[in-house]
Amino acid sequence: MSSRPELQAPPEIFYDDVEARKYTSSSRIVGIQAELSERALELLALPDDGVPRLLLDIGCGSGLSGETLSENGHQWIGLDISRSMLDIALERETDGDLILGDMGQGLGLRPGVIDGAISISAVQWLCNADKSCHEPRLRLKAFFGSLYRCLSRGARAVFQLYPENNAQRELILSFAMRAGFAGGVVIDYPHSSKKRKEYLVLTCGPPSLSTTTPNAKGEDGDSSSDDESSGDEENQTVCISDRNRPRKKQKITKKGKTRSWVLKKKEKMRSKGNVVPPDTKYTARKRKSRF
Amino acid sequence: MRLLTHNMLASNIKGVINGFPLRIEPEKIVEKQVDFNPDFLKNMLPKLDWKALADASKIMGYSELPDEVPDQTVVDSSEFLQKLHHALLELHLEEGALVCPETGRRFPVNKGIPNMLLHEDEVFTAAVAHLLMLCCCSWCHVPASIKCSFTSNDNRMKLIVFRKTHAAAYD
Repeated sequence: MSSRPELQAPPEIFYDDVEARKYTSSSRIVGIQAELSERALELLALPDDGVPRLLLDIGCGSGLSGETLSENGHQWIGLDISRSMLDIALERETDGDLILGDMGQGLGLRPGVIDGAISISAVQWLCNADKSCHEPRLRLKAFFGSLYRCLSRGARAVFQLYPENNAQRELILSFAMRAGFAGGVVIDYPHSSKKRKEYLVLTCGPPSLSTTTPNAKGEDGDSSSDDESSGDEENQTVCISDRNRPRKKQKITKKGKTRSWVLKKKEKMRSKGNVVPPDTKYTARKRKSRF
Repeated sequence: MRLLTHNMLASNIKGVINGFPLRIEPEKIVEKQVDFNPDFLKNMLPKLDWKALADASKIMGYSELPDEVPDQTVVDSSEFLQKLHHALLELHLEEGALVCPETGRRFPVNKGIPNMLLHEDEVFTAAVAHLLMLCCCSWCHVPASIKCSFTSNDNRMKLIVFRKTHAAAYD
């Protein structure tokens, strides 16, 4: 069985009472959710004047992400399709209002009233067709269209998502662009397989200075910070000229691993987001001969 | 559900042009204490639909809010803001229903959560569009070239216009 919940059952069935409780009682998931929503709120770039805003949490689930919003003093409205998840949210006495609704049917909200929207690991569910009446393209269109209408001018929407493949990422992005949003994908820790997180940062309104995509964390250079990078991965070609390629590219000299090798390796691990001790004068120094 | 959310919610059933405000049918109302924040209220005030809020708070049994949109001098008084705070954030609709003003569709509210899920026939889907198109075309005997322009991805406005222009044959 696949590890992606999207491939197992529709969200309202997958997140039943048992799964909802399991999800919320796992301290690992709670920690990850808090971290993701903290970062999403940071990417939302709300004006720093201490005034609470009215935010929308799409796919709020048991209110784990909403808790971060409340801690930062904002009022929020949460939308989710799973009743069991919302019941858990009620038990946890979250501050925001909860709505049982399907984002693919369009958000039934008045135009121009919401100051920002976040969504943690939810939007990729829209790419599934769980019922015969579901048409992912129409659902994406309805979702992004209604979101664009209900956001106020200049407001941002940040979606953390796990696209299954490049095609899915491009599908979501293209419908966001078609709805009128400006923005792109921010990839944190692009070199790490575990810590790598993708955020879709969208801005309502015409392109301006405020619509530029923010920089990602844990990456070197300027690549893969916007939507062009998603295309690059596809175009990458693996060059192997010889059939029997060398076993190890890294040549280790007879002297052993040098300081420069260690420094390079540490830098690589840092870029993957691992915890690496700082470089000091003791790094890779030679041991005494008695060892 | 607070009145703040009620003031933002509109029904999005297909074909409904103005699904706001949803009529409240209260069965159980609770009050919860929330921290008072005048900045948030002042920030929200231009975005609120005042008439809807005043009407909704009356239905919820709180008739302290004025009917007309208050002017600037009133807005700055803390007494007014306290009332607005109570109406907007502290009154909760725990059990009851929301009713779409145009279609009369009831959205039940359970434990403070409104169920805004739509049935299949209330969502505009490709299948519905396709069916409608087929019916229209066969009844109106439109030329094949027009039929072709109505693909399933065509938007809803075109179909509505089409239905209006061929209303006689459609009925």
